[in-house]
Amino acid sequence: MPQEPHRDERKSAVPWLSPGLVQSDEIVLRTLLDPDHLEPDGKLKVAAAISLEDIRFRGWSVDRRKFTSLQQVRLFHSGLKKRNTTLRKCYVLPIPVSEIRQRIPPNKVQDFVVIDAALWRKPSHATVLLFSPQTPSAARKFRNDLLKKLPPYVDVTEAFDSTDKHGFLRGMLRQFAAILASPFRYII
Amino acid sequence: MIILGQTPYAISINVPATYNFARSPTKELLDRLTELKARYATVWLPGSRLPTENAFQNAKDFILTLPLNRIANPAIHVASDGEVNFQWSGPDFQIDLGFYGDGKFSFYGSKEGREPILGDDIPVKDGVPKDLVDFAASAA
Repeated sequence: MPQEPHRDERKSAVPWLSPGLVQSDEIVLRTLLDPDHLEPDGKLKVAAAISLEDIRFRGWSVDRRKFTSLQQVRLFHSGLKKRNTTLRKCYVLPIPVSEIRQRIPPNKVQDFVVIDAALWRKPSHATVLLFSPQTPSAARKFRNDLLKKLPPYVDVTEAFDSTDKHGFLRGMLRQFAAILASPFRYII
Repeated sequence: MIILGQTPYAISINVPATYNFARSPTKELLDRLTELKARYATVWLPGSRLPTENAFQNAKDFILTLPLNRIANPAIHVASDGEVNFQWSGPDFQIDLGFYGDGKFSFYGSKEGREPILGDDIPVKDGVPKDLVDFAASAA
């Protein structure tokens, strides 16, 4: 059994690199690959797009829009295309964090958490995880439920507007501030 | 050949067939596994894991247990955590089932007006549960 991941939304998974906790009014972007994540008719391949191990243990990687930029996402996509020449196109799912964190009636229990999991020089990195440990079959149920909440995927250019230009710079400045405020500043 | 009064006659009858006798649902699924195995032979996505030979073998063994005369062929995909996944979906039902190569599978099935069914650690040799067949039978 893999190590139990960090599931507490009130704390960052990597505080010394964190630009701040993920807020519910944010948008997170998930990259989708055509054809690996999409059917020929354009529908999402459930398992390929959301792996069980990601939502159970590893964290389903997303980018916080406010700490990235169109250029950064494009750079990531072009890196993927270089590694795999059969990749036709990359899209993104612009998902409101509030949708992922939604508490479902009647029990009003939250199914998923969105954790700040910033990486060095990638302050936008966050992960989506199941709220609590679940069996594989239950995780299958939750991922199918999550799929129903997802908005349509779009071309990466449609995911950003003119106000999002300096997201990456903002994220990096905050990341430097976090490093300077942490004990790691002595190592660096 | 029909013998009429000791004289041999060969009678040939042409019947227009609407069914493709050459089509085999089992072969289609096995071919799909072969296709996926070839496509996902090398890791290229950061942090991803390829399905093991055992995962493909488990999927193959499972296919041979499917009552494909009663249920439609599932869509088969590979996930970045090494799962070989089978999906059946229709207007009122959804089945999500997968293999990681440990000789077992887990599943989740939902159908409108019915209680969802879940299963973990089911031995591949046990084949598809009857309840799941009932869910998927409407898609055939």
